[in-house]
Amino acid sequence: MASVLIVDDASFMRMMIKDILTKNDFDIAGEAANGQEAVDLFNETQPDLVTMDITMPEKDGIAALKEILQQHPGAKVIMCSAMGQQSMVIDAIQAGAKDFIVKPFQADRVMDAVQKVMG
Amino acid sequence: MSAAPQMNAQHINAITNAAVIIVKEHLGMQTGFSKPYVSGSQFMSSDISVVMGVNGTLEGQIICTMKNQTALSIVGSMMGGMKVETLDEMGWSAIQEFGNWVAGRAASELAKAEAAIDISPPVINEGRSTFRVEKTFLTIPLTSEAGEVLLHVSITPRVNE
Repeated sequence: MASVLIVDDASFMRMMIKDILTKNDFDIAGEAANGQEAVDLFNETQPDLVTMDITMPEKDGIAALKEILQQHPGAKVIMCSAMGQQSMVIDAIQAGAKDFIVKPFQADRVMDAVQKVMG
Repeated sequence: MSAAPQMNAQHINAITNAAVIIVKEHLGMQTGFSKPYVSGSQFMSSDISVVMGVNGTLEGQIICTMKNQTALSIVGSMMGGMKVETLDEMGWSAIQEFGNWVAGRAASELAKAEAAIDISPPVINEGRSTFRVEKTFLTIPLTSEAGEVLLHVSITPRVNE
């Protein structure tokens, strides 16, 4: 069973994403509420996939994405942000994100992205 | 003394559209808005306010305020149509996220008006309070099945000092 690290500063969003993933038989490797926690938890749990918010206190999702990829070039990270303007999406994809989901989302959109990235 | 900088109508439309899209398409509620009005440099909030900072080519604040009952309906709808009677930690997080959705969508709509902005993580203010700024608030009244949500907006082009 594939494991996912969920990163979002809002506990409500973590709950929503966790609910979608567990209903589709994914394991939750952990939950992080900011970019630094995400980097630390990634190193600790080595998940198969990460869902990463962008606007977060302490360290934002783009900085965390770059740090994770520097240490683990094969990491699979899907960005998940309410800020869906084109420039934000381009920045994230250029930094190495595999996909970009705009919040609020439907469960199907999340599962499409996850299944595509997990191949 | 120079006149207060005017808020751009295109920017106000972008924020209004964003709020309507979130409430209508994502909360599945009928919604509409009335004509925005100038509230001046201060306003009295309703029971709950979600405060967000705007940075980028525009700067200022977006404050989203509503009655407790309206917040409960919005949170219930965000949780898939549950009846929510009080806001617990998850409920507070949800109403914060509602503000984030509106502001995030506003950032996308503003990008179409060639304004590039970033939003700071939302802060919640509980209880009726007076909010003051040095500039001017423009208030966008949004009506929905959940009740009235007022968007108090104070954004002007960034001035490089």
